[in-house]
Amino acid sequence: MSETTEKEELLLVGEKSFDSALVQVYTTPDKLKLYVSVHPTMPGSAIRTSVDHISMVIESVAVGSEPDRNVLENVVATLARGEDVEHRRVARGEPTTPGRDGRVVLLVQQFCAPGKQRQCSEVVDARFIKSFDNVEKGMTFARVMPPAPGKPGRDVFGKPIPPPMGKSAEFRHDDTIALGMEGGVEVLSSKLDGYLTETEKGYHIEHNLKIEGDVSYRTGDIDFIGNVEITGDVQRDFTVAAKESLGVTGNVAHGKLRCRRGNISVGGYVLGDSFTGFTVGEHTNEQMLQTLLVQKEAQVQCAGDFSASILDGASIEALGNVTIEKEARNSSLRTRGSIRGSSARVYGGDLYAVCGIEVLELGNSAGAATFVHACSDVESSAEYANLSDKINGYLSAEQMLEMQLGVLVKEPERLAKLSPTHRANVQKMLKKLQEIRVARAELEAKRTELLSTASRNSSFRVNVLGKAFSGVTILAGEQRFFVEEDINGPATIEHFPETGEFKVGSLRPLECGTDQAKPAKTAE
Amino acid sequence: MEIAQTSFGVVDARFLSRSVGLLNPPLAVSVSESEVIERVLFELRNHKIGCVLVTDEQGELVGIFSERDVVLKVSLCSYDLTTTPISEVMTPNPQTIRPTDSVAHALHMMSIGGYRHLPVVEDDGMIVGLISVKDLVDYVAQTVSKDLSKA
Repeated sequence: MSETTEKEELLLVGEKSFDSALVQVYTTPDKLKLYVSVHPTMPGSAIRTSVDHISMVIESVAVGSEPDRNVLENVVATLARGEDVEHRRVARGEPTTPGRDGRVVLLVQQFCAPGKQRQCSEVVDARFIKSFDNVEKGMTFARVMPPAPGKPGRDVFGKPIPPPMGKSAEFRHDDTIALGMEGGVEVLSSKLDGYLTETEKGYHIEHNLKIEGDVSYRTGDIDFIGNVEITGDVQRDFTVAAKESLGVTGNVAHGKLRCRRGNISVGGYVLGDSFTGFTVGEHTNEQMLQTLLVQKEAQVQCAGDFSASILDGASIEALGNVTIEKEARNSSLRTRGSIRGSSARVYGGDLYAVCGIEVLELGNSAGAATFVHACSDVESSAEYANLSDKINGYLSAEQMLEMQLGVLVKEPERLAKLSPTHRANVQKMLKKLQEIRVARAELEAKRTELLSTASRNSSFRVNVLGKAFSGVTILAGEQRFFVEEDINGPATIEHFPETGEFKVGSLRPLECGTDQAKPAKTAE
Repeated sequence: MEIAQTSFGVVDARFLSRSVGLLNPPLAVSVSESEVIERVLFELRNHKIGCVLVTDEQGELVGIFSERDVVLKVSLCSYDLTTTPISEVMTPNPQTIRPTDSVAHALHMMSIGGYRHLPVVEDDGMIVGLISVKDLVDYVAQTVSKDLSKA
């Protein structure tokens, strides 16, 4: 039987008569509240009873309950006045606490569009604003935390009420993400390099980063392990590094570009800080000279091809070919391929190439000192490139290990004072250091041997489609060719290493000689 | 072909700005605040860990108990280890860090705050894991090793 108070529905648990009264015991459907009604058999007659007695009656009907004695005192007083007791709450249970729902916890920062990211108080350099974390292939970037059990309750009869479990996490993801288990917890990991974002399909790892606008204080430096596209400019002192490819629609004014594996293209100009010469005077001391002579890190470095519209004071290093659309002035260009610009004017600065140069105009009517350096086939080979890189890598590794080991390198007797585990680790590192030194020495010997066999391409060609101006110098080893009078194109200035001669003749296509002399990036 | 890495600039702006979550903080062992000290010491030994998180009945973080607390508060003191609850010797209301906070911030907290362990906690209090000084040191060492192995 159910009744209702003003606020809630009540279910009759039972009833019992005593002392000329009827006791009815009710509970709420959730059994968290116990109510009592007491009606004298003779309406209006006073009933003399005690708290203990009425408590005993209630407990005999609602076994296990513990009525509140303070409330029962009031019930007893009410009955003594000859009044009915109607739906008095005498006991209360403990409700359950629902468990926390499961959910996905991100371990990395999801991509946030530049300008909208929150300001991190931990940023120590305002140029470096973290818009996202690089997520490498195979990396765990999120955990699916399971739902937690809640806290059990207790009904008015003293029986425990099991808590409701939280709901499992619901999420979606696309095929760029894999599910796995770590430490008994479900985790999400990436199937490719990129940044984490959300699309209509759910979580997604994006391999291509597009920056709308400039790379500036709004974005901070960019370092991304996929492809990068910038629709604006790269502003002064900012660096953009991409692993696969890098494209800038606008200009790069004193900014830096790096691409570890692929090509770099700049739609506008690249403006750098290169200087072409200096005058040494009587007040130039050794330290100043060394400072001036220190080779500065190139402004642009890429493993593939590089292309831009205009270069001004820029320093470019590319393992692939360099293409200039309009002009390169006072710049340093180094490539293991060729430098091309069928509509380009190149004057001032230094050009280093293995496979030749073909431009519209070389030098200018003002006689700007322009140097073209012919590099050897060995320097173009993948083997030489790999060797040089490995030697540099070994050297850096050696220096890093020496730094870590510190005094233990020169004073191995100190090893005896270390704990056995520590000593074993240090001995492994010392062994590694020795192996690196031996390996580096072998590689250096190999490189020396290679260089001793170096020969130029069967010919090195500098093609001018328009004109080569006086002031241009072409260097090939010890041989030099000065353009004393303007050379009208189309023409080829060709160097023959075997004879050491330079010849000016009709236009001939650039060649890269034998397979050995092909640009390094294609001879992997 | 790749441009080889010839410098090992581990501690630079890029490294410092990485999220702490990238260190994959291990799941923390939690104990109830009513658990007795002896039982908690048993957990430390069994799991071979230096720290446990202390939670209330709702699972919310209320404290942290580490080897340091063992040395400073438990040893040579007259606590009955079998009856004293851990809440009496834990460090209450510990500083926490979010998974997307930076490595720089974690280093700052540990250095300036003197903490060797930092619970990794979401904004609403959900415990994600626990990061220690050793985790940071291991991460630096691994990064260097990765660079060395490329050489």
